[in-house]
Amino acid sequence: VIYSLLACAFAYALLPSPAVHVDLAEKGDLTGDGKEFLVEWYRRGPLRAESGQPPQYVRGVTVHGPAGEAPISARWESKPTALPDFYRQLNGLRSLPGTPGQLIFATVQYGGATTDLYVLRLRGTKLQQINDIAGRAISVEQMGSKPELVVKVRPSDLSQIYALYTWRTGRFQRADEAFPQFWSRLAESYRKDVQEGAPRSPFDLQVDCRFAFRAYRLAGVPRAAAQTCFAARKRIQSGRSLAPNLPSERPEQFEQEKATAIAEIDRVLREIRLHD
Amino acid sequence: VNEVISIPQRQRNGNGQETRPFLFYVYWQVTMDEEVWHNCNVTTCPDSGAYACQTACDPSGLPQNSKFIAITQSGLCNKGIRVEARPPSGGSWSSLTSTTIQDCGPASGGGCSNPYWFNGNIPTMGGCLSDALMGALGISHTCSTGQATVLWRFQ
Repeated sequence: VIYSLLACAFAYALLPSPAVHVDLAEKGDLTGDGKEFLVEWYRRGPLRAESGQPPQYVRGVTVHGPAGEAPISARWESKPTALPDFYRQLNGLRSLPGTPGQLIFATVQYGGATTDLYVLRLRGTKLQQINDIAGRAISVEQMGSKPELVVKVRPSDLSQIYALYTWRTGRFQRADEAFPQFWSRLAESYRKDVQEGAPRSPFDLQVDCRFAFRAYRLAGVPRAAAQTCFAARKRIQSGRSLAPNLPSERPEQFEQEKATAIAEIDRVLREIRLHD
Repeated sequence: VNEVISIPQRQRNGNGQETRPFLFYVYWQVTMDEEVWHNCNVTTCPDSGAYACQTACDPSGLPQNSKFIAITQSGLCNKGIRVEARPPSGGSWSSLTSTTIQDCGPASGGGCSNPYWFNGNIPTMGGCLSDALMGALGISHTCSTGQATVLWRFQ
Protein backbone atom coordinates (compact mmCIF):
# COMPACT_ATOMS: atom_id res chain seq x y z
CA VAL A 1 0.00 0.00 0.00
CA ILE A 2 2.82 2.38 0.90
CA TYR A 3 4.57 1.70 -2.42
CA SER A 4 1.29 2.31 -4.29
CA LEU A 5 0.78 5.62 -2.48
CA LEU A 6 4.34 6.66 -3.22
CA ALA A 7 3.89 5.73 -6.87
CA CYS A 8 0.68 7.77 -7.07
CA ALA A 9 2.37 10.76 -5.44
CA PHE A 10 5.30 10.46 -7.86
CA ALA A 11 2.98 10.21 -10.86
CA TYR A 12 0.99 13.23 -9.63
CA ALA A 13 4.21 15.24 -9.27
CA LEU A 14 5.08 14.43 -12.87
CA LEU A 15 1.74 15.74 -14.21
CA PRO A 16 2.28 18.92 -16.19
CA SER A 17 1.05 21.97 -14.27
CA PRO A 18 -1.41 24.22 -16.10
CA ALA A 19 0.42 26.58 -18.44
CA VAL A 20 0.74 30.23 -17.48
CA HIS A 21 0.47 32.81 -20.22
CA VAL A 22 1.33 36.43 -19.50
CA ASP A 23 -0.91 38.80 -21.48
CA LEU A 24 0.44 42.10 -20.24
CA ALA A 25 3.34 43.44 -18.15
CA GLU A 26 3.57 47.03 -16.92
CA LYS A 27 5.87 48.87 -14.55
CA GLY A 28 4.40 51.37 -12.14
CA ASP A 29 4.48 53.08 -8.77
CA LEU A 30 1.93 51.17 -6.68
CA THR A 31 2.77 52.72 -3.35
CA GLY A 32 3.08 56.41 -4.25
CA ASP A 33 6.64 56.73 -2.99
CA GLY A 34 8.45 56.50 -6.31
CA LYS A 35 9.35 52.81 -6.05
CA GLU A 36 8.82 50.84 -9.22
CA PHE A 37 7.01 47.50 -9.31
CA LEU A 38 6.50 45.03 -12.16
CA VAL A 39 2.87 44.00 -12.62
CA GLU A 40 1.86 41.05 -14.81
CA TRP A 41 -1.63 40.02 -15.96
CA TYR A 42 -1.79 36.32 -16.80
CA ARG A 43 -4.06 33.39 -17.42
CA ARG A 44 -3.43 29.92 -16.01
CA GLY A 45 -4.92 26.81 -17.53
CA PRO A 46 -6.58 24.86 -18.86
CA LEU A 47 -7.53 23.36 -15.53
CA ARG A 48 -9.23 20.00 -15.29
CA ALA A 49 -12.91 20.31 -16.25
CA GLU A 50 -15.86 18.10 -15.43
CA SER A 51 -17.02 15.75 -18.16
CA GLY A 52 -18.92 17.57 -20.89
CA GLN A 53 -17.90 21.01 -19.64
CA PRO A 54 -15.51 23.38 -21.41
CA PRO A 55 -11.97 23.77 -20.04
CA GLN A 56 -11.55 26.28 -17.24
CA TYR A 57 -8.93 28.95 -16.69
CA VAL A 58 -8.14 31.45 -13.99
CA ARG A 59 -6.95 34.98 -14.62
CA GLY A 60 -4.48 36.50 -12.24
CA VAL A 61 -2.18 39.39 -11.42
CA THR A 62 1.29 39.24 -9.87
CA VAL A 63 3.35 42.09 -8.49
CA HIS A 64 7.12 41.89 -8.15
CA GLY A 65 9.52 44.43 -6.72
CA PRO A 66 10.65 46.97 -5.99
CA ALA A 67 14.21 46.47 -7.15
CA GLY A 68 16.65 46.57 -4.30
CA GLU A 69 15.87 45.92 -0.67
CA ALA A 70 13.14 43.49 0.53
CA PRO A 71 11.36 42.82 -2.77
CA ILE A 72 7.87 41.33 -2.52
CA SER A 73 5.86 39.00 -4.72
CA ALA A 74 2.08 39.40 -4.36
CA ARG A 75 -0.59 37.51 -6.27
CA TRP A 76 -4.35 37.74 -6.92
CA GLU A 77 -6.44 35.20 -8.86
CA SER A 78 -10.01 35.14 -10.12
CA LYS A 79 -12.60 32.40 -9.90
CA PRO A 80 -12.35 29.87 -12.75
CA THR A 81 -13.84 30.83 -16.11
CA ALA A 82 -14.26 29.15 -19.48
CA LEU A 83 -13.54 32.44 -21.27
CA PRO A 84 -9.82 33.20 -21.18
CA ASP A 85 -9.79 36.14 -23.61
CA PHE A 86 -7.90 39.22 -22.48
CA TYR A 87 -9.28 42.71 -23.08
CA ARG A 88 -6.33 45.04 -23.18
CA GLN A 89 -8.30 48.28 -23.00
CA LEU A 90 -9.77 47.49 -19.57
CA ASN A 91 -6.68 45.99 -17.96
CA GLY A 92 -3.72 48.02 -16.77
CA LEU A 93 -2.43 50.45 -14.18
CA ARG A 94 -4.39 53.63 -13.60
CA SER A 95 -3.71 56.75 -11.60
CA LEU A 96 -6.57 58.55 -9.90
CA PRO A 97 -6.36 62.24 -9.00
CA GLY A 98 -5.60 62.65 -5.30
CA THR A 99 -4.84 58.97 -4.76
CA PRO A 100 -1.26 57.93 -3.92
CA GLY A 101 -0.04 54.91 -5.84
CA GLN A 102 -1.46 53.44 -9.01
CA LEU A 103 -4.39 51.02 -8.97
CA ILE A 104 -4.50 47.73 -10.85
CA PHE A 105 -7.53 47.13 -13.10
CA ALA A 106 -8.25 43.54 -14.17
CA THR A 107 -11.27 42.09 -15.94
CA VAL A 108 -12.58 38.57 -16.18
CA GLN A 109 -15.37 37.46 -18.48
CA TYR A 110 -17.34 34.63 -16.90
CA GLY A 111 -20.21 34.32 -19.35
CA GLY A 112 -21.52 35.89 -22.55
CA ALA A 113 -23.41 38.41 -20.41
CA THR A 114 -21.18 38.55 -17.33
CA THR A 115 -17.96 40.52 -17.05
CA ASP A 116 -16.36 41.52 -13.75
CA LEU A 117 -14.00 44.45 -13.30
CA TYR A 118 -11.69 44.00 -10.33
CA VAL A 119 -9.81 46.95 -8.86
CA LEU A 120 -6.76 45.97 -6.80
CA ARG A 121 -4.28 47.91 -4.75
CA LEU A 122 -1.00 46.87 -3.18
CA ARG A 123 -1.25 47.08 0.58
CA GLY A 124 1.92 46.01 2.39
CA THR A 125 2.96 42.74 0.79
CA LYS A 126 -0.50 41.70 -0.40
CA LEU A 127 -2.86 42.61 -3.21
CA GLN A 128 -6.16 43.88 -1.83
CA GLN A 129 -9.32 43.63 -3.95
CA ILE A 130 -11.23 46.86 -3.38
CA ASN A 131 -13.92 46.56 -6.06
CA ASP A 132 -15.70 43.81 -7.96
CA ILE A 133 -18.06 45.51 -10.40
CA ALA A 134 -20.10 43.16 -12.57
CA GLY A 135 -22.03 43.97 -15.71
CA ARG A 136 -22.91 42.92 -19.20
CA ALA A 137 -20.54 45.51 -20.62
CA ILE A 138 -18.03 47.72 -18.83
CA SER A 139 -15.93 50.70 -19.88
CA VAL A 140 -13.63 53.04 -17.99
CA GLU A 141 -13.54 56.61 -19.24
CA GLN A 142 -13.51 60.31 -18.42
CA MET A 143 -16.83 62.12 -18.67
CA GLY A 144 -16.60 65.48 -20.37
CA SER A 145 -14.00 67.80 -18.91
CA LYS A 146 -13.90 66.17 -15.48
CA PRO A 147 -10.51 64.58 -14.78
CA GLU A 148 -11.94 61.75 -12.68
CA LEU A 149 -12.33 58.26 -14.08
CA VAL A 150 -15.83 56.87 -14.41
CA VAL A 151 -16.61 53.16 -14.56
CA LYS A 152 -19.58 52.87 -16.89
CA VAL A 153 -21.48 49.62 -16.54
CA ARG A 154 -24.30 48.42 -18.71
CA PRO A 155 -26.25 46.11 -16.46
CA SER A 156 -28.38 43.36 -17.88
CA ASP A 157 -31.91 44.32 -16.91
CA LEU A 158 -32.37 47.60 -18.77
CA SER A 159 -29.38 47.47 -20.98
CA GLN A 160 -29.38 51.02 -22.36
CA ILE A 161 -29.41 52.57 -18.90
CA TYR A 162 -25.96 52.62 -17.43
CA ALA A 163 -24.70 52.49 -13.88
CA LEU A 164 -21.92 55.00 -13.23
CA TYR A 165 -19.26 54.57 -10.57
CA THR A 166 -16.73 57.16 -9.42
CA TRP A 167 -13.87 57.03 -6.95
CA ARG A 168 -15.05 58.05 -3.48
CA THR A 169 -13.47 57.35 -0.10
CA GLY A 170 -11.05 54.73 -1.27
CA ARG A 171 -13.18 52.75 -3.71
CA PHE A 172 -15.44 53.10 -6.73
CA GLN A 173 -19.02 53.79 -5.68
CA ARG A 174 -22.28 54.24 -7.57
CA ALA A 175 -22.77 57.88 -8.48
CA ASP A 176 -25.41 58.13 -11.23
CA GLU A 177 -26.75 61.49 -10.04
CA ALA A 178 -23.33 63.12 -10.38
CA PHE A 179 -23.59 63.22 -14.18
CA PRO A 180 -26.85 64.97 -15.14
CA GLN A 181 -25.50 66.09 -18.52
CA PHE A 182 -24.74 62.50 -19.49
CA TRP A 183 -28.32 61.46 -18.67
CA SER A 184 -29.74 64.48 -20.41
CA ARG A 185 -27.96 63.55 -23.66
CA LEU A 186 -29.11 59.93 -23.35
CA ALA A 187 -32.71 60.99 -22.72
CA GLU A 188 -32.63 63.24 -25.77
CA SER A 189 -31.52 60.28 -27.90
CA TYR A 190 -34.66 58.40 -26.82
CA ARG A 191 -36.82 61.39 -27.63
CA LYS A 192 -35.30 61.59 -31.12
CA ASP A 193 -35.78 57.84 -31.67
CA VAL A 194 -39.45 58.19 -30.86
CA GLN A 195 -40.13 61.43 -32.75
CA GLU A 196 -37.89 61.02 -35.79
CA GLY A 197 -36.68 57.44 -35.81
CA ALA A 198 -37.01 54.61 -38.28
CA PRO A 199 -39.95 52.16 -38.08
CA ARG A 200 -40.27 50.76 -34.57
CA SER A 201 -42.44 48.25 -32.84
CA PRO A 202 -44.90 49.16 -30.08
CA PHE A 203 -42.63 47.29 -27.69
CA ASP A 204 -39.61 49.40 -28.79
CA LEU A 205 -41.60 52.58 -28.22
CA GLN A 206 -42.73 51.43 -24.78
CA VAL A 207 -39.10 50.69 -23.86
CA ASP A 208 -38.03 54.12 -25.20
CA CYS A 209 -40.62 55.78 -22.94
CA ARG A 210 -39.47 53.81 -19.88
CA PHE A 211 -35.78 54.49 -20.58
CA ALA A 212 -36.41 58.18 -21.26
CA PHE A 213 -38.14 58.50 -17.89
CA ARG A 214 -35.22 56.91 -16.09
CA ALA A 215 -32.72 59.07 -17.95
CA TYR A 216 -34.64 62.35 -17.48
CA ARG A 217 -35.13 61.51 -13.79
CA LEU A 218 -31.37 61.08 -13.36
CA ALA A 219 -30.88 64.32 -15.29
CA GLY A 220 -33.02 66.01 -12.65
CA VAL A 221 -35.98 66.78 -14.95
CA PRO A 222 -38.31 63.75 -14.73
CA ARG A 223 -41.31 65.64 -16.13
CA ALA A 224 -39.47 66.19 -19.42
CA ALA A 225 -40.03 62.47 -20.15
CA ALA A 226 -43.75 63.10 -20.64
CA GLN A 227 -43.10 64.55 -24.10
CA THR A 228 -41.31 61.37 -25.22
CA CYS A 229 -43.96 59.10 -23.74
CA PHE A 230 -46.87 61.04 -25.25
CA ALA A 231 -45.12 60.93 -28.63
CA ALA A 232 -44.60 57.16 -28.30
CA ARG A 233 -48.25 56.65 -27.41
CA LYS A 234 -49.43 58.82 -30.30
CA ARG A 235 -47.24 56.90 -32.72
CA ILE A 236 -48.68 53.57 -31.61
CA GLN A 237 -52.25 54.85 -31.82
CA SER A 238 -51.76 56.41 -35.25
CA GLY A 239 -49.85 53.41 -36.63
CA ARG A 240 -47.17 55.70 -38.12
CA SER A 241 -43.91 53.80 -38.90
CA LEU A 242 -45.05 50.90 -36.79
CA ALA A 243 -43.92 47.30 -37.19
CA PRO A 244 -44.72 44.18 -35.14
CA ASN A 245 -42.03 43.21 -32.67
CA LEU A 246 -42.01 39.54 -33.65
CA PRO A 247 -42.13 38.68 -37.37
CA SER A 248 -44.46 35.76 -36.74
CA GLU A 249 -47.13 37.89 -35.01
CA ARG A 250 -50.68 37.48 -36.24
CA PRO A 251 -52.83 40.65 -36.60
CA GLU A 252 -54.66 39.99 -33.32
CA GLN A 253 -51.32 39.47 -31.54
CA PHE A 254 -50.07 42.76 -33.01
CA GLU A 255 -53.16 44.50 -31.65
CA GLN A 256 -52.45 42.91 -28.26
CA GLU A 257 -48.83 44.12 -28.43
CA LYS A 258 -50.07 47.66 -29.14
CA ALA A 259 -52.54 47.53 -26.24
CA THR A 260 -49.89 46.19 -23.85
CA ALA A 261 -47.43 48.91 -24.93
CA ILE A 262 -50.01 51.68 -24.44
CA ALA A 263 -50.90 50.33 -20.99
CA GLU A 264 -47.21 50.31 -20.04
CA ILE A 265 -46.71 53.86 -21.38
CA ASP A 266 -49.73 55.02 -19.35
CA ARG A 267 -48.18 53.41 -16.27
CA VAL A 268 -44.97 55.43 -16.87
CA LEU A 269 -46.99 58.60 -17.43
CA ARG A 270 -48.68 58.07 -14.05
CA GLU A 271 -45.23 57.72 -12.45
CA ILE A 272 -44.13 60.93 -14.17
CA ARG A 273 -47.17 62.78 -12.77
CA LEU A 274 -46.03 61.83 -9.26
CA HIS A 275 -43.16 64.28 -9.82
CA ASP A 276 -45.54 67.21 -10.38
CA VAL B 1 -47.66 24.36 -15.25
CA ASN B 2 -49.23 22.10 -17.83
CA GLU B 3 -47.17 19.01 -17.34
CA VAL B 4 -48.30 15.42 -17.15
CA ILE B 5 -46.61 13.49 -14.38
CA SER B 6 -47.07 9.73 -14.44
CA ILE B 7 -48.03 8.04 -11.18
CA PRO B 8 -45.37 5.48 -10.33
CA GLN B 9 -46.07 1.86 -9.46
CA ARG B 10 -46.43 0.85 -5.85
CA GLN B 11 -43.48 -1.05 -4.40
CA ARG B 12 -42.81 -2.98 -1.22
CA ASN B 13 -39.84 -2.03 0.91
CA GLY B 14 -37.75 -4.41 3.05
CA ASN B 15 -40.24 -4.24 5.91
CA GLY B 16 -43.09 -5.34 3.70
CA GLN B 17 -44.62 -1.85 3.70
CA GLU B 18 -46.18 -0.54 0.52
CA THR B 19 -44.53 2.56 -0.87
CA ARG B 20 -44.99 4.67 -3.95
CA PRO B 21 -41.81 6.59 -4.96
CA PHE B 22 -42.38 10.08 -6.32
CA LEU B 23 -39.93 12.40 -7.98
CA PHE B 24 -40.88 16.03 -7.41
CA TYR B 25 -39.74 18.60 -9.91
CA VAL B 26 -39.28 22.05 -8.45
CA TYR B 27 -40.02 24.98 -10.73
CA TRP B 28 -38.46 28.36 -10.09
CA GLN B 29 -40.36 31.51 -10.95
CA VAL B 30 -37.86 34.22 -11.81
CA THR B 31 -37.36 37.16 -14.14
CA MET B 32 -34.97 36.59 -17.00
CA ASP B 33 -33.67 39.10 -19.49
CA GLU B 34 -32.55 38.78 -23.06
CA GLU B 35 -29.25 37.57 -24.41
CA VAL B 36 -28.87 38.82 -27.96
CA TRP B 37 -26.96 37.39 -30.90
CA HIS B 38 -25.49 40.84 -31.56
CA ASN B 39 -26.44 44.10 -29.93
CA CYS B 40 -28.21 46.73 -32.05
CA ASN B 41 -26.08 48.01 -34.94
CA VAL B 42 -23.11 45.74 -34.06
CA THR B 43 -21.99 42.97 -36.38
CA THR B 44 -18.47 42.15 -35.22
CA CYS B 45 -16.78 40.88 -32.07
CA PRO B 46 -16.04 41.84 -29.39
CA ASP B 47 -19.64 42.73 -28.57
CA SER B 48 -20.24 42.46 -24.84
CA GLY B 49 -23.23 40.40 -23.90
CA ALA B 50 -23.70 38.98 -27.40
CA TYR B 51 -23.74 35.22 -27.82
CA ALA B 52 -22.32 35.54 -31.35
CA CYS B 53 -18.96 36.25 -29.75
CA GLN B 54 -18.78 33.89 -26.80
CA THR B 55 -20.68 32.08 -24.11
CA ALA B 56 -19.46 30.26 -21.03
CA CYS B 57 -20.23 26.99 -22.81
CA ASP B 58 -18.77 27.89 -26.20
CA PRO B 59 -15.91 30.38 -26.13
CA SER B 60 -16.19 30.80 -29.91
CA GLY B 61 -19.85 31.85 -29.75
CA LEU B 62 -23.08 30.45 -31.11
CA PRO B 63 -24.88 30.95 -34.43
CA GLN B 64 -27.77 33.33 -34.90
CA ASN B 65 -31.17 32.11 -33.76
CA SER B 66 -29.74 29.73 -31.17
CA LYS B 67 -32.38 28.85 -28.62
CA PHE B 68 -30.89 28.46 -25.16
CA ILE B 69 -31.00 29.61 -21.59
CA ALA B 70 -28.31 31.06 -19.31
CA ILE B 71 -28.52 30.54 -15.57
CA THR B 72 -26.45 31.93 -12.75
CA GLN B 73 -24.02 29.09 -12.21
CA SER B 74 -21.12 27.84 -14.29
CA GLY B 75 -20.41 24.15 -14.98
CA LEU B 76 -23.94 23.27 -16.16
CA CYS B 77 -23.41 23.42 -19.93
CA ASN B 78 -25.80 21.37 -22.08
CA LYS B 79 -28.07 20.41 -19.18
CA GLY B 80 -31.73 20.23 -20.16
CA ILE B 81 -34.20 22.82 -18.92
CA ARG B 82 -37.96 23.13 -19.23
CA VAL B 83 -39.19 26.68 -19.36
CA GLU B 84 -42.47 28.53 -19.68
CA ALA B 85 -42.65 32.31 -19.93
CA ARG B 86 -44.94 35.32 -19.83
CA PRO B 87 -44.24 39.04 -20.31
CA PRO B 88 -43.48 41.08 -17.15
CA SER B 89 -46.63 43.11 -17.74
CA GLY B 90 -48.72 39.96 -17.35
CA GLY B 91 -50.69 38.10 -19.98
CA SER B 92 -50.81 34.43 -20.75
CA TRP B 93 -48.08 31.88 -20.19
CA SER B 94 -46.38 30.34 -23.21
CA SER B 95 -46.37 26.60 -23.71
CA LEU B 96 -43.74 24.56 -21.92
CA THR B 97 -40.52 24.41 -23.95
CA SER B 98 -37.44 22.25 -23.63
CA THR B 99 -34.07 23.85 -24.12
CA THR B 100 -30.48 23.60 -22.86
CA ILE B 101 -28.09 25.73 -20.82
CA GLN B 102 -25.49 27.34 -23.07
CA ASP B 103 -24.24 30.22 -20.95
CA CYS B 104 -24.08 31.52 -17.40
CA GLY B 105 -25.23 34.86 -16.02
CA PRO B 106 -26.39 37.56 -16.05
CA ALA B 107 -24.15 39.74 -13.91
CA SER B 108 -27.13 41.31 -12.13
CA GLY B 109 -28.26 37.87 -10.97
CA GLY B 110 -25.00 37.02 -9.29
CA GLY B 111 -23.00 36.20 -12.40
CA CYS B 112 -21.90 32.60 -12.70
CA SER B 113 -21.68 31.64 -9.04
CA ASN B 114 -25.19 31.99 -7.63
CA PRO B 115 -27.00 28.61 -7.57
CA TYR B 116 -30.17 30.05 -6.03
CA TRP B 117 -32.03 26.76 -6.58
CA PHE B 118 -30.04 25.38 -3.63
CA ASN B 119 -30.85 28.16 -1.16
CA GLY B 120 -34.02 29.82 -2.50
CA ASN B 121 -32.47 33.31 -2.56
CA ILE B 122 -33.84 34.28 -5.94
CA PRO B 123 -31.99 37.25 -7.47
CA THR B 124 -33.56 40.15 -9.36
CA MET B 125 -32.57 38.53 -12.62
CA GLY B 126 -32.42 34.74 -12.48
CA GLY B 127 -31.01 34.05 -15.93
CA CYS B 128 -31.17 34.98 -19.59
CA LEU B 129 -33.24 33.74 -22.51
CA SER B 130 -31.64 33.94 -25.93
CA ASP B 131 -33.40 36.25 -28.39
CA ALA B 132 -34.50 33.29 -30.49
CA LEU B 133 -35.90 31.48 -27.45
CA MET B 134 -37.74 34.66 -26.45
CA GLY B 135 -39.26 34.77 -29.93
CA ALA B 136 -40.25 31.11 -29.70
CA LEU B 137 -41.90 31.77 -26.35
CA GLY B 138 -43.78 34.75 -27.81
CA ILE B 139 -41.99 37.34 -25.68
CA SER B 140 -41.49 40.82 -27.16
CA HIS B 141 -37.89 41.97 -27.27
CA THR B 142 -35.56 44.34 -29.09
CA CYS B 143 -31.97 43.97 -30.23
CA SER B 144 -30.85 45.11 -26.78
CA THR B 145 -33.72 44.64 -24.37
CA GLY B 146 -36.34 42.18 -23.34
CA GLN B 147 -37.39 40.45 -20.20
CA ALA B 148 -39.96 37.96 -19.03
CA THR B 149 -41.18 36.10 -16.01
CA VAL B 150 -40.40 32.41 -16.42
CA LEU B 151 -41.04 29.15 -14.71
CA TRP B 152 -38.11 26.80 -15.18
CA ARG B 153 -36.84 23.51 -13.89
CA PHE B 154 -34.02 21.09 -14.59
CA GLN B 155 -34.98 18.16 -16.81
